[in-house]
Amino acid sequence: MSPWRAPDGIEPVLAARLWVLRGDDLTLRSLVKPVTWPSNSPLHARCSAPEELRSDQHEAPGEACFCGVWGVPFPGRLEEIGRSALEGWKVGGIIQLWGRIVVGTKGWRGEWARPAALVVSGRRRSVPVDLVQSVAFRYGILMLDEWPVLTPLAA
Amino acid sequence: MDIGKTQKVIEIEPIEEPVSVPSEPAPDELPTPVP
Repeated sequence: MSPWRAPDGIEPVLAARLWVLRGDDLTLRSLVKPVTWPSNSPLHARCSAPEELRSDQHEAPGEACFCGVWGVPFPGRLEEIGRSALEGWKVGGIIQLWGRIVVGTKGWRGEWARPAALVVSGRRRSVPVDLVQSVAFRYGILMLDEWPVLTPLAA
Repeated sequence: MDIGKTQKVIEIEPIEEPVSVPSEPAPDELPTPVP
């Protein structure tokens, strides 16, 4: 960020997202890329789009790209997203997003992110609760049984 | 990930590094001093 520009906010944005839950090493993995979320540090987004698909060199999240750590303001959209994802246990949760954030009509893409809670509710109850609890403990975050109200971030 | 049509780009700069875990042990977890 330019040293001359004031930030638009000083509190991380809360967003909903899905992960693939790995039972062998108790980690959270991104749905569409082989990225394991670290348990002891924030995740920093990097653009991994192939050179031929990039319109320019940019830091993630690029405004005209698909890169960045995604999150959505409404957990109801996660069902749609989960259908097109990798096989495996999927678990929803809340992330903190900060840094540069591209705000879209259906969701957000951010520069930095950290898991804040895992949520086991509705259909996601098919995921073994003890496994979710173990992963939440490993990441030092809460396991919730319902979704809280997330940050409104409309344009 | 498709997030729809871009509406704006914002910068969030937390004053402190966001944390999600308490870092201090509970009093009953503190080690007992050995004389």
